[in-house]
Amino acid sequence: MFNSLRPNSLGELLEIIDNGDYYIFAGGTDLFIRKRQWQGAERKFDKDVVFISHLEELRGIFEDRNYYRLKTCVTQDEVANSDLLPDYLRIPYGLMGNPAIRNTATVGGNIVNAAMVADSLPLFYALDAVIVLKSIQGDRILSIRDFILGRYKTDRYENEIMYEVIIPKEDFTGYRYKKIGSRKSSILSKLSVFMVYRKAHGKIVDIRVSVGAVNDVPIRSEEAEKEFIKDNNLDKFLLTIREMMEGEDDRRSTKLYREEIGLRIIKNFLEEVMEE
Amino acid sequence: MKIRDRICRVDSVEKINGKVRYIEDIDFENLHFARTLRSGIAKGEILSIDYPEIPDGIWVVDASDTPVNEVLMIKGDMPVFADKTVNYIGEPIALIVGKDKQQVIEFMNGIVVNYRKDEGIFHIDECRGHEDMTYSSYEYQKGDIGELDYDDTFEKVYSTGYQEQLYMEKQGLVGEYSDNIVTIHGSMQCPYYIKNALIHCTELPGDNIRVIQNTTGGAFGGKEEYPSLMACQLAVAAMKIKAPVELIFDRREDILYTTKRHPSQTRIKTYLKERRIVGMAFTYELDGGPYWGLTDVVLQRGILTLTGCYNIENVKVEGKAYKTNNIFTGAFRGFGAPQSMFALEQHMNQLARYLNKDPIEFRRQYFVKKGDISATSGVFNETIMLQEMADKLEKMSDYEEIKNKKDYYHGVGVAFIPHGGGFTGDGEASHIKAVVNLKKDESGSVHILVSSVEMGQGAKTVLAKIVASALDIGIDRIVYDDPDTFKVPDSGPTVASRTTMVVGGLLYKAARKLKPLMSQKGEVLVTETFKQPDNIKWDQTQLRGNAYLSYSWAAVIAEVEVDPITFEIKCTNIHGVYDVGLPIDEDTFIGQVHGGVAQGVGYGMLEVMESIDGLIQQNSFSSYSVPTMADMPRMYTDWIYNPYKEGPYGAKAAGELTLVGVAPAIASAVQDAIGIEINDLPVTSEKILAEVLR
Ligand SMILES: Cc1cc2nc3c(=O)[nH]c(=O)nc-3n(C[C@H](O)[C@H](O)[C@H](O)COP(=O)(O)OP(=O)(O)OC[C@H]3O[C@@H](n4cnc5c(N)ncnc54)[C@H](O)[C@@H]3O)c2cc1C
Repeated sequence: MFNSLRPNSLGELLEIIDNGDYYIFAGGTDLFIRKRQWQGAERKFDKDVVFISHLEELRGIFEDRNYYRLKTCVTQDEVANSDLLPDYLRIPYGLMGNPAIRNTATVGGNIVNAAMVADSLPLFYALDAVIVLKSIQGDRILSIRDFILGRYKTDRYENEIMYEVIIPKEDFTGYRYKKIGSRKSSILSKLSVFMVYRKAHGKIVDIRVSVGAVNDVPIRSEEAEKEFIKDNNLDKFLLTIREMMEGEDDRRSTKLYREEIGLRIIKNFLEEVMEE
Repeated sequence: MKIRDRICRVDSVEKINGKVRYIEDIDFENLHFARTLRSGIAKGEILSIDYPEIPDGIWVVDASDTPVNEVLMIKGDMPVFADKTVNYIGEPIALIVGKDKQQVIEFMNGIVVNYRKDEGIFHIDECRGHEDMTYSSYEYQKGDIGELDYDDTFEKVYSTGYQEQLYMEKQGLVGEYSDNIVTIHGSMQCPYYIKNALIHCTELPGDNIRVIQNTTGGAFGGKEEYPSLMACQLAVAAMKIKAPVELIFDRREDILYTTKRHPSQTRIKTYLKERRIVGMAFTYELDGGPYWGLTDVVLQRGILTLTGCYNIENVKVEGKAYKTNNIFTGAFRGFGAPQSMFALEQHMNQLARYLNKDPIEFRRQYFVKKGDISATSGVFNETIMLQEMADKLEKMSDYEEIKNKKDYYHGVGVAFIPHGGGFTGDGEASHIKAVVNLKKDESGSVHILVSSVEMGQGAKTVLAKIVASALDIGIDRIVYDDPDTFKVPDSGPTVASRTTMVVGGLLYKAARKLKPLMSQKGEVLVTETFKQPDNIKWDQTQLRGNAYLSYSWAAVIAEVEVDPITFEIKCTNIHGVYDVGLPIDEDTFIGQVHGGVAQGVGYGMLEVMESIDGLIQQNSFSSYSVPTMADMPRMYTDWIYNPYKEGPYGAKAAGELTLVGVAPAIASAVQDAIGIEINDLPVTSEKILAEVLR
C-alpha cells in the first residue's frame, strides 16, 4: 500500500518532500508505466506518491528580454502550440508521443526522467539551457549538462523538485530537426538530430549540433562547432562527432544505423546551411 | 432486404457507445484471478520448485491437478502445465490463483524454480536433416523437373520474420465449475476446438462441457488454438478451487508468450528456356516452435499454392516444418501464405527485372485460367479473371505514369495473390463437417445458430444479411447471439476465410428451406450440413487434386518513397483490385481491405520482432511498431464480380486475401526505388543501410 498526496501549493510540496522520500508524479507518462505490474492490481509504488501537475505555480511559459522560461509542468502540447516560443522549440515538441501523451506529458518529466531517448534533451543541450531546482533550502541552478549525469541519472536531490528550464534567446537564422523512429508517430526515437545556426554576411557565425538517442546522453561538441565556424571543414567536424558516438544494437535499431545515419543527417544539414 | 442494400454493421452502436461487455468487464460471483508461473529458460528440466508457505486464499494449480496433461490441438504433445521438462521461455508451469491480485503477486515473487539447463535450438539451420527436429515434411511434383530442357536458371532465397496479431483485446477467459459442468467464457475464435480440448483434458463427457464466446476484440488467428491451452488450465483450476477463475494476460505477456506468425525461409529455383519459365523448384521451411500446434496445416497452406497465380508446367515443391525452442508459432491471418507469397512474388519481380520485362506484362504470360492444371494437379474449375484484374489495376493506378516517375527514390511494386477459401483439400468435408441451424421462433424472429464468432471482422453483419436477404425480411428480425455450445451446433472454427463462404453458404441454403415454412405457427428449425461439391477431388496422402474449394484473387500495387539520406520508407499508395466473388457487404469488405493493408504494411516494413535465444525482444507497444494512422498509405480499392456457384450470392473468401499481397508489393517497390534486392521481411531502414554499405 502507498499513499498519494496532492499538495495545495508549491510551499506545501517542498515541505512534503523535505520530510520524506516520494515519487514525484507530473504527467505520469513515464512513471505510471514503469510501475505497472498486473492489470487490475495496484501499481508497484514502493514509496508514497506526490502529485504536482495541478499546481499553478509550476505552470506557464514566460519570456523576458534574454530568456524563455518553461515551468516544469508545462505540457508538451502547450509548448508545441505556444504563441511565444520559436519554431525550433515548438516543432520538435509537436513530434513527441501522440496527441494524448502530449496533453499530459510535461517538460520537466522528460528532463528529470533522463532517458536516453528523451527528445527534449538534445534541444536543451544545443540551446545551453539551465535547470532551476527548488527545495525548502532554496534554489540551485545547473546547466543541463551538469544536471544530466547519465542514463536515468540526474543531479537532483531527493528534497528538490525541478522548477523550470531557462533557455537563452538567440537570434538564430534557422534550425533543422530530424527525429527518426521505427514508425511515423507515437514512437520513441532511435535517433534525433537538432541544429540551430546564425549566419551573418553569408558566413556561419554560430552553429550548434546535437544528437539524441545514440549515447546515454545527447552528443554535442562545442569545440568542434567553434572550429567549424573558423574553417568550415565538414569532414573534420563529422569525424569529431563520429568519435564521440557510442551507439549500440538494441530492439529499436542498430549501432551502424544510428551512427551512420546520424552523420549523414548532420552532413546534409550543414551542407544546406553552407549553401544557403 | 436485398443483399446489395447498404446497412450499418449490426454491432457498431453498442461497440461505439461502450455498452458492449468484454470478458474483463463481466462480474462473476466469488471470482478468483490466475497468473501464470512460467519457465525462465528455453530448454531444460525442472529439478524442483521452492514455493513459499502457501497462505490461505492462494492456490497452486499444476500438472499434478490435471487429469490428462495434454492440450488437444492436432496432436496432444503440448502439456497443459509443463511437468519436469520445459521447451520454451514462458512455458506455463502452474497457475497461481487467488482473490486478491496483490497477494498473488507477492506469493509469486517468492517462488524459485530450479532448472537443469539444456542447449536449446533457436534456428532452423540447426534442424535441417534431423528427423527428430522435423514436425512434418511434404513433397509434391507436377510434370517432371528432372527431365527439363533449359538454358538458364535463376535462384534466390527469401526469409520472413515473426509477426504478432496484436488484437486490441488481450487473451482472456474465465472458467467455472458447478453441477459437474465446466463452463468457459471469453475471447475466442473456435468454441468447439476449446470444447474438444476440454473433453480430452478433463475426461468429462461432452455434455458436461460448455463454451460460451463473449464479445471478442480482435483475434486474427491468435485466438484460434491458443485459448484451448488457457481453457484447459482454467478448467483444472475451477474444478480444484470450485470457484470461477479468470485468466487475462497483460499486454507484454501476450506479446511474449502467445502464438506468432511462423518465421520462414523459401528457396526458389526457376528454370528458363529461351527466356520463358519452364519449371520452378521450391523449398519452403517454417520454424514451428516447441509444439505441433497447427504448424502442419500452416505448412500445407504455405506450399499448396506456391505457384501463386501462375500456370507453371513443371513444379517441384518441398515443405518442412521444424521443432525449435523458440516461441510457439501458430495461426495468423494468411496462415503460411504471407510467407510463401512474399517469396514467390518477390521472385517474379526479380525475374521480370532479370529478363528486362515489365513486372505485370511478365506475369500476364503465365496467369492461370479456367481449365488449367494447378500445382497440385487439380483442375481450376472456375472462371479466373486475372487478366481483367490486371487491366483494372493498371488503369486505376495510372500504372504507365507512376512506373515512369523519374524521382530516383520513388518505387512501384506489384503482387498478384490467390487465396483458397475454407479448409485445405477435403478438410471441410472430412474434418469440419459443418452444421448450421436456423430457427424461426413464435414471434417470427429468425435465430442464426452457428459456432462462428464475431471478432470484429463483421460476421454478424454479413451472416445476418445473407439470411435476411434469402428470407426477404428485415435484418432487425435476425437474432445472432454470441455462440454457446449448449445452444449452437458445430459450424466449424472461425478461421480460414470460411465463415462467409462456407457457413454463409450453408445458412443461405437453410434460409431457402425455411422460407416456405415462415408462415407456420410456432417454432420451426431447419438444419444444413456441409457436402463436398462433386467436382472437388483431393488425395491428402499425395497432396494431389483440388487444394481448395474455390480461389479468391488479389492484384496489388504499392508505391513507396525512400528518404535518400535516412532510408526511411514511406508507403504512399496501395492500389488493390480483388475478386471475392461478390462482396456480401461492401463496407465490411472495404474494412477487410483497409485492415489487411494495415497488417500488410506492418508485416512488410514496420513490425520487427527478433528473438534472441528464444526470447522475443520487442515486447510492448513502444518497441513492436504496428502502423499508426500516420504510417498508412492512401488506399484505392476496387473489385470485379465473379460469382462462385456454391457461395452465398456468389461470395468467396475475403478475410485473409487482403493482407497477403501488401508486403511483397511494398518490398518490390522499395527494390524498385533503390535498386537493392530485398529478400527478407520486414524491409527496414537498417537493412537497407547495411545493403548499401556492402
Ligand atoms: C505512448 C508514449 C509515447 C512517448 N513518446 C515520447 C517521445 O516521442 N519522445 C520522448 O522523449 N518521450 C516520449 N514518451 C515518454 C514520456 O511521455 C516523456 O518522457 C514525458 O515528457 C514524461 O513527462 P511526464 O510529465 O509524464 O513524467 P512523469 O512520468 O510524471 O515523470 C517522469 C520522471 O520525472 C520525475 N519528475 C517529473 N517532474 C518532476 C519535477 N518537477 N521534479 C522532480 N522530478 C520530476 C518523476 O518523478 C519521474 O521519475 C512517450 C511515452 C509514451 C507512453
